[in-house]
Amino acid sequence: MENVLLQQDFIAAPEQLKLIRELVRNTAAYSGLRAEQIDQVVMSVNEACMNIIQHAYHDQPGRIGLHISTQQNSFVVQLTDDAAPLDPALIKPRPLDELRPGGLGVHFMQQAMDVVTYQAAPAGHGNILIMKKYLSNLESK
Amino acid sequence: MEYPTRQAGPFTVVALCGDVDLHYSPQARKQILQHLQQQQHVLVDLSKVSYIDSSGIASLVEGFQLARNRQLRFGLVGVSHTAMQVLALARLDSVFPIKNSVSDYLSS
Repeated sequence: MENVLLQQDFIAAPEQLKLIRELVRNTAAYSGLRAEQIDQVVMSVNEACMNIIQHAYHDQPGRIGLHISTQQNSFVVQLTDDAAPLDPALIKPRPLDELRPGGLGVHFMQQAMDVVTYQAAPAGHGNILIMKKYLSNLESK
Repeated sequence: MEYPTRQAGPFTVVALCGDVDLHYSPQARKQILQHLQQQQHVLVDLSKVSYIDSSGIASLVEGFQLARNRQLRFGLVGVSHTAMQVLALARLDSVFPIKNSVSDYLSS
């Protein structure tokens, strides 16, 4: 059963990131995640929003939809955008032994979250990113 | 927003603060690179950084690379717990020179 905790649209812009982080932090704390897990979720959402701003919208105006819920044993974050669909196969972390700026966001998300899944939006435009953090301490990273 | 800078021996110290995210990291990048382009050795003070994301880390990587290309010194100082966690996740904690204080660089 899904328990929706937060649903809000944001302007896809760097100055919105602090507000998004604060809302995610408060919602994760309300759900009972440990301090370390809260930091991991906040970091992952921030990185995902950055990717939407920079790589989906290419710094042009757009919408980011943020939907947070708990489902069974998971804290679930769904981010949606209205940009041109991206090929999920092309969204991968770069090798960390390459010292160069950029390309770390996907690595951060995959390290911090228990599940990271990209989907094309059903309407044929936009993208959906689903990230899960298991609420059980035994199962979660 | 301009980050405060000061001179300490041969180093220009750029003191980042607050949330170094995609909103503020372009300014951090600009200041760090500007000093290196002026052939100054640079230390970046992270003691007052409450949050840093991959765009902030990218600014530090760019600084590190430019310093290396120009044979200048570049290092981090007073790395906050939060910033150290992110550097470790990017496996950069063993790449950047990191010391507790500016005086540690002056005496080395």
